[in-house]
Amino acid sequence: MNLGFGAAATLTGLLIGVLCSLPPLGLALKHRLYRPALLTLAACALGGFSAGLWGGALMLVLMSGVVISYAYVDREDPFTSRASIDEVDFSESNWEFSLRKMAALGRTVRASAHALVRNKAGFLGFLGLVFFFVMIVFGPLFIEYDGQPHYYDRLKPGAKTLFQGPSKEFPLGLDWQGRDVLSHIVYGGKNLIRTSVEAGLMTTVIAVVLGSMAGLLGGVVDQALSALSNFILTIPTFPLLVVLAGIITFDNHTYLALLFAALYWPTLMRAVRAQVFSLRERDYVQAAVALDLGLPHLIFREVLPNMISYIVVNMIFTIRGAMYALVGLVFLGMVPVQEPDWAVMIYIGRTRQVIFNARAASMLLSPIIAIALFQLSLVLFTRSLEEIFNPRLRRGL
Amino acid sequence: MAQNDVVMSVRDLSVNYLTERGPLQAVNRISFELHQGETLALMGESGCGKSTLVMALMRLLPSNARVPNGEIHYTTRDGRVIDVLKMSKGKLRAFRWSECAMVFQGALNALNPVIRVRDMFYDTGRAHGMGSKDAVRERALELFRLVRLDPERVFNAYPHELSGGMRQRVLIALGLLLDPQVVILDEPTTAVDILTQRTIIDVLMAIRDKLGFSIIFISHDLAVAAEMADTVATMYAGEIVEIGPVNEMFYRPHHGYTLGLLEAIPSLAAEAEELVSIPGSPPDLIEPPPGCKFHERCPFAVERCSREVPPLVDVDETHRVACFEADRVIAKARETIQA
Amino acid sequence: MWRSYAFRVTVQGLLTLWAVTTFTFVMIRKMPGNPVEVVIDQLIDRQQLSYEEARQQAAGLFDFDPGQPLIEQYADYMNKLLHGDMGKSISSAGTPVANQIKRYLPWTLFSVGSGLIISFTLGVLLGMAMAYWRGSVFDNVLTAAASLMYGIPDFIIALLLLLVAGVQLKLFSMEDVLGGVGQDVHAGLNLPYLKSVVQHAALPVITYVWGTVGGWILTMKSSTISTLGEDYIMVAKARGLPERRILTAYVGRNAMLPLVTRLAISIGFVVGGSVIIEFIFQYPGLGRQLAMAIGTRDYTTMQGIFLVIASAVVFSNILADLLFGMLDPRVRVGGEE
Repeated sequence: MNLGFGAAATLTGLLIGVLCSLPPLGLALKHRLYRPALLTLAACALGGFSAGLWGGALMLVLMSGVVISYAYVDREDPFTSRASIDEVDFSESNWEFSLRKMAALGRTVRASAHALVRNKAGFLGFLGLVFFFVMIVFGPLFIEYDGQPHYYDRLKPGAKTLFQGPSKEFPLGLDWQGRDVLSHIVYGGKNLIRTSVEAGLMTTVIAVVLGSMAGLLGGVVDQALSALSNFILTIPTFPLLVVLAGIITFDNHTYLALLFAALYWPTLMRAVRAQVFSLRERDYVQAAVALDLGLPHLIFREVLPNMISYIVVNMIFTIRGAMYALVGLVFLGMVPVQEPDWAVMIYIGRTRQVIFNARAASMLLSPIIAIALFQLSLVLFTRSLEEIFNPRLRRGL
Repeated sequence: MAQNDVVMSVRDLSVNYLTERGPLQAVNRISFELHQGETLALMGESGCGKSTLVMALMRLLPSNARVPNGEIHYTTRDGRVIDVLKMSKGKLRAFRWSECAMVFQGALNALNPVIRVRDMFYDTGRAHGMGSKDAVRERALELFRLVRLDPERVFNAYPHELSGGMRQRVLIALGLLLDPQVVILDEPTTAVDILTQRTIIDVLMAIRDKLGFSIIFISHDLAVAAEMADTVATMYAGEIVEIGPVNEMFYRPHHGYTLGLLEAIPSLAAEAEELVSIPGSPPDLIEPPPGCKFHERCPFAVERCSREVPPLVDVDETHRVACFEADRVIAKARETIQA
Repeated sequence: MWRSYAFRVTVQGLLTLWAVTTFTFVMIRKMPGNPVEVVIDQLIDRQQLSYEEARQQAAGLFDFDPGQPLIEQYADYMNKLLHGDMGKSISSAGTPVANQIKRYLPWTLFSVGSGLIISFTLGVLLGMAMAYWRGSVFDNVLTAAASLMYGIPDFIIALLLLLVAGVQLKLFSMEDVLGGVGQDVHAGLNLPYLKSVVQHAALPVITYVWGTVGGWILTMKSSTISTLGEDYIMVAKARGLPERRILTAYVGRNAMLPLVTRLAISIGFVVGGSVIIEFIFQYPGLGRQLAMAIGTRDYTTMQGIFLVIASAVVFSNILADLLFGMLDPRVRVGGEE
């Protein structure tokens, strides 16, 4: 039985979520924290339902932190007390230490949630992304994919003609083969979004690794990588993609994502490199270098925490850029088309001259609006991300 | 000092910042007088309202600041008295810099990086009708010599070509361009190294004695204050809690907070453990505590301090303090300062 | 100092240009599944030629001598490029690629260029005004609008314009907006011709402005806000300078600095136009020609157009660095790092 992502959107997933909620829920009820308890139950159930064991476990940790952050009281800051510094006991058991860390995690989660809700534009973007997530994960539970062409002789029940406009049975109308446009919208986003997100992730990983390497190793490595990034930055990305599409056949979307990553990494890489250089000047990093703590330690403990906000926002913009390029390539017919896909719907709209057919607008407008809304949500969401990851923008609880 | 040589007189001045939680009382009912040629030092922790006060004196407050009450009277050289808070925009523009100039902290950012030093002098001269460029230039070069800068080279340089100490002196020269009566110095020595600090202080004292303007200055460095100031005012939580001549303030402080600040000065002779910092942190200025704002941190505090606000009363003709327990403070001060 | 800076910037740019041309050479000749191989296969397939014959013919099409060693072919290719010779088009029977580029480039320069000017001017003025009246209704509305514009891809706007304004609302007829100029007017300096050119460029320009103005507005706004917070602005006010002087020499000049570089870089991207927008509006520019060349597997045209686009970007980058050095005196002495 698959309890991981396979359990998503099933009753098993929901059950996993509820089970995961038990420990923090018990703790919350013990401390009479009813509102956090309710939130815990909801969050864990949602986590389990949408991502199986993984989602449930994540929510278990996060919500435990939140509950502990309400229940846990830190000892008084010796600075504000009148006691002599010698009388203060600074020792701390492992248990107290983990409690304090969990509470800190919980406060971070709460602060992030507040930041998310406070920035209205960002929250709107977040809601948009949630909407698409729900549609892609849960939509197939209710709507069946309508892939086979229906012609005049075997129209769908209730349909009058091809290219039918929106009606009660078919809210987004029918396409050029008499198929339900709504089902194509529900099923058609998954690949596009996944490829774009893959591209964003790969870009980020490549950029962070290369940037840290250039910054930390310096010398020849740095010069070579900087020259390469300068070179790539100068090439106009989209025309190059188009030219490459003319030479190579992009039949695998992961390769396509890798190609995007190969073209998009320099911007972030330069920022990471600059950050590493400025960090290297600081004593504690020099100490870490002197202690030979290794590359991973330097990257994960010193470099990344300082620029996480920039990295995440950059990733979102890369996802957006990758989606733009992907839809563009499909639109120009440079990538083999495969249904269901929003971009392919636009491509077909163009090749079938739907654009000049006033009756058929819904078939073309639906994917256009879906893509526009998704990209808009991404851009708006970065506002919240900035506030969440930038402690200076965050205000106290 | 005679009564008729007052250059600037501040009465009952308050400044509030509008915040999400409500108005923040950054400056609360402050009064003082500044005489011709006098140097007034403002002491206090960061956030006590020193900077807000001097910004208010030039009406340079940010847009979320309000002045609910108070008067700032300024006497020009020809004896006219002007109310700074009621001035029109045009008159204010003329008043700024020609009567009251300011040398900002952080010399690095106080000069526009994309234009030359000379253009900043020309701009200032033109804005105040100083006539020809040559007149501005002549005056600037003379001032540069006074602040010990290589006149020609600095005049034609871009800010980034100068060192921190040089920039600070350029700012001082720029402040003196229009021969103002009052110069405000906002931590003039914080952003530079210790040797440069020395030069700047020497230069400032020399030109003050030569040109005879009055100075209001903010410094965290009490040694500098002791050296330069005639009068010292201690500010706490937006209020002046004690004001008096420099020797009085340093040797016979009447307020617990002044004493606390003095005890926090590291001296070469003193052992490290004798250094006492004031425990706790400044109060919330949006919902200030009742009574004396310092009572929560004050070692001399009695029950009355948390109920009643101590008024600023005269110790003698020039020395005023706002404390109920001044006698105990002065007794303690005699003990520690003599020891 | 200025000279050595300019020299360094120029040399770097030329090196990049050399790298781009070499990269293109390798891509066309040596990459797995490269165009030369594809054409050879096609010729063998269609015209029943032997491999050698097909190779000769393909070499003729791509304008290289198959008998030479690769390094000499490369030298020959570079030499021809230096003389502006980019070979002949494969699909349109022997037209020199350079001629094709000369024909399509002006359209792109005109439409995207005017779009860039409009977009930049609007963005700078609005961005600065928004920073000045920060928090006002004007600022909030425009910030929302700018994010909205920035969030929606430009080709989506192009399609929406055609679909909603053209097809559904019938605000204009398709013949009036698609293509570069109307059929019934004669080229030359006469009013109907110019009018038709402007009319046909309107939609691509609107789309371009829509897609880019949000970015300019937001950058200018944040740049102005951070400049307004600088000490030297406060000092300028304290010095009693007139508002106008502060706005231009103190706020404007410093806030524009980061934008000027971006503007210069954008000029380079004008040449590439927007492939998709030109394609949608059937606008006879370089970008659409690139897409068409790929559609017809016209590799020489494709290579030529790509090289022109890339060199435009390289040159504008050099320009951007030089401009930045002139405007910001700090760059000249500090050098890099």
